[in-house]
Amino acid sequence: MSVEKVKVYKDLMGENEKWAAETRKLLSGKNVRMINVIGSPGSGKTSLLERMVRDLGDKCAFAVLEGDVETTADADRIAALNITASQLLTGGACHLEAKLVYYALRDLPLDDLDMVVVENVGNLVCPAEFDIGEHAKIAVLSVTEGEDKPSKYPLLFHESSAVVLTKTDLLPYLDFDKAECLRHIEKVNPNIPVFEISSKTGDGVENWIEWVMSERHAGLVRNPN
Amino acid sequence: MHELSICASIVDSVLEELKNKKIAPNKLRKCGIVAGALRQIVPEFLKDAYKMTTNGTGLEDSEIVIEIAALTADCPDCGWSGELKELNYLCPACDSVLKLNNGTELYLSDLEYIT
Ligand SMILES: Nc1nc2c(ncn2[C@@H]2O[C@H](COP(=O)(O)OP(=O)(O)OP(=O)(O)O)[C@@H](O)[C@H]2O)c(=O)[nH]1
Ligand SMILES: [Mg+2]
Ligand SMILES: [Zn+2]
Repeated sequence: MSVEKVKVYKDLMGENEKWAAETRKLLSGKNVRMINVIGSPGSGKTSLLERMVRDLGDKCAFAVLEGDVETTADADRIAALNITASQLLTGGACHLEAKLVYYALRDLPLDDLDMVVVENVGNLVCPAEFDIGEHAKIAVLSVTEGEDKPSKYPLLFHESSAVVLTKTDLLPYLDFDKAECLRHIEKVNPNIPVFEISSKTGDGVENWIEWVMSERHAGLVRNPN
Repeated sequence: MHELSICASIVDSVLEELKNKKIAPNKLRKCGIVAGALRQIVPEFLKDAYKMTTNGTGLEDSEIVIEIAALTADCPDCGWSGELKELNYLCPACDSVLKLNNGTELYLSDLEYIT
């Protein structure tokens, strides 16, 4: 009996990447853009989507995929606004994977849509690891979470195409140092746009929507691999 | 928690490679993986996940060996080159934006087995 060692070089994300590539093909065939919204539990992801539904009106036909571990609460909130919303139950997993998203997309009326917005499971680590075939990842960070989150969870901010800093209406009550937060973001992603918004008052939502729409028209693909 | 899903993908890949190489799963002693520092993998969690996933299967006598690949970068402006302890795109020497070399890789690197 002897011990032998062989070298292999096998990408461990291969299976997920395969489905992500299928998704990109499906979406580009239908000319639909997809954004993947990622942030901590309670950072304001669903509230941001509700705002977008209200403020975008009929400028953009979109559907929402809600990633959730257990409940359908968020999908119900979006469906209440007459927007197609599907629930993706991950069954305990802390993130969405490409295959699940692919099958959910196939059930959407893609011919009638301009955009699909995915709300990932509330978590700053795992969703950033899994490409779901989106055109852009959006990092949602609320001002109540502290300035240093981009440095503590660098992968998400590194992989994202924009940061939405939410709950800015709360700034007067907090010691949040915005300049410091922006420095943390710059360290992990030097040129990323940051949108400061309040879903409660609507402040800053207009700039964010303008970016989303221009991103859609520009066909800006950040994660082509 | 993502260690568990990554582990499922590791086990699938290991079994596939063993099959390709015609090595019986119970001959495997070690599988080596390389994870870039930005992947934020906690080796202890991944080891536990591997043990849990393979327990009672043909792979139960094998262990996983994890190498964390350092994050390295070069500066296009001043030529600085080195390892980054944490992700920071601003060059430690001149503050220009660095070019990252790696840090997000995640692959199965080797298999050690008995014959
Ligand atoms: N003051 C204020 N509160 C907000 C704002 N946006 C969201 N909230 C509140 O923050 C809490 C969480 O908001 P959600 O939109 O449900 O957060 P989420 O990120 O979707 O949460 P999960 O899906 O559970 O991870 C709710 O109580 C919201 O009312 C905001 O702009 N300002
Ligand atoms: Mg939500
Ligand atoms: Zn330099």
